[in-house]
Amino acid sequence: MTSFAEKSQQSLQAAEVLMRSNLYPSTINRAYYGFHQYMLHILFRKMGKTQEDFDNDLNAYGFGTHSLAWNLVGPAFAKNKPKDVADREWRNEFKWLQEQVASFKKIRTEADYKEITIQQEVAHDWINKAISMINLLNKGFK
Amino acid sequence: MTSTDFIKENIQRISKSFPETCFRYGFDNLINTHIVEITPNEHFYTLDSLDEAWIPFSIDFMTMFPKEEIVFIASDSPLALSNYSYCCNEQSDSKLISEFFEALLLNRIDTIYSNSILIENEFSDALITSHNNSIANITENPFEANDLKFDEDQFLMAA
Repeated sequence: MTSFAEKSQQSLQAAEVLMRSNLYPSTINRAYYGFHQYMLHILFRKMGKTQEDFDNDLNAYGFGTHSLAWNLVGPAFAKNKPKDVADREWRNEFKWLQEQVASFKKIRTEADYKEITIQQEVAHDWINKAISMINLLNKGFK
Repeated sequence: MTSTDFIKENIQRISKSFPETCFRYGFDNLINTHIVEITPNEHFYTLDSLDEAWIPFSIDFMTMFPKEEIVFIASDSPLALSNYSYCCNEQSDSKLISEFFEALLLNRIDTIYSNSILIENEFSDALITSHNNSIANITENPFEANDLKFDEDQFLMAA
């Protein structure tokens, strides 16, 4: 069985391979999924949600795996402030993460479904952001 | 209550505690996400009390509407929309803009006024200098005009 943590790592590795092959829209796609698979890892391994419960919620709400995952992980992240982090710093981390989640969704949608060019630096930037976002999630779910 | 009504009701409630802050609501159809823009940007980035008001609301929204998404941004975000459908405390933004332009205008007027005095002074100095030079020239060569050489033969030949 391949865990979501492993899938996430594989997606990020694939993103780097794609970037070295100058396939930038696909790089964005893999980096985006790398982050989302890590959110599922948090959800199932750190928050105790079962895959079955999650699937039931998905069926109940109709659609939106990514929205549902973020709407479950985001609030828990906001409340999981580590003791050694100041309130203000943690609020800023939440603000940053919330904006990046939406921005990532936007660039991934544009990369996949719009006839736009994705520059190398943008693809590179989003791999780094995906890693930063994963590291931040880890801070909240040690 | 719809998700949009819930957002409007809450930003209206929060905006009452922050009369100097403008809240704009819009929906990004590309990513199916509710966008709330807070300006001035420094309020969004630095006002702790504002964070303490909107973050709990944002978390409530995420819990109540799990298949929808919401994001709070400053106007310098790449997620900022060109059009918003709802706004609270818009006058605070207009006030800020008018204060900025008023300051800019006053500064410009001051600059123009200072420059005009400078130009006027430079012009006066130039006039005085020019006048003095003329006087000096006249004083130095009071009868120069009368001393012009006139070659009568050459003049006649040219004629």
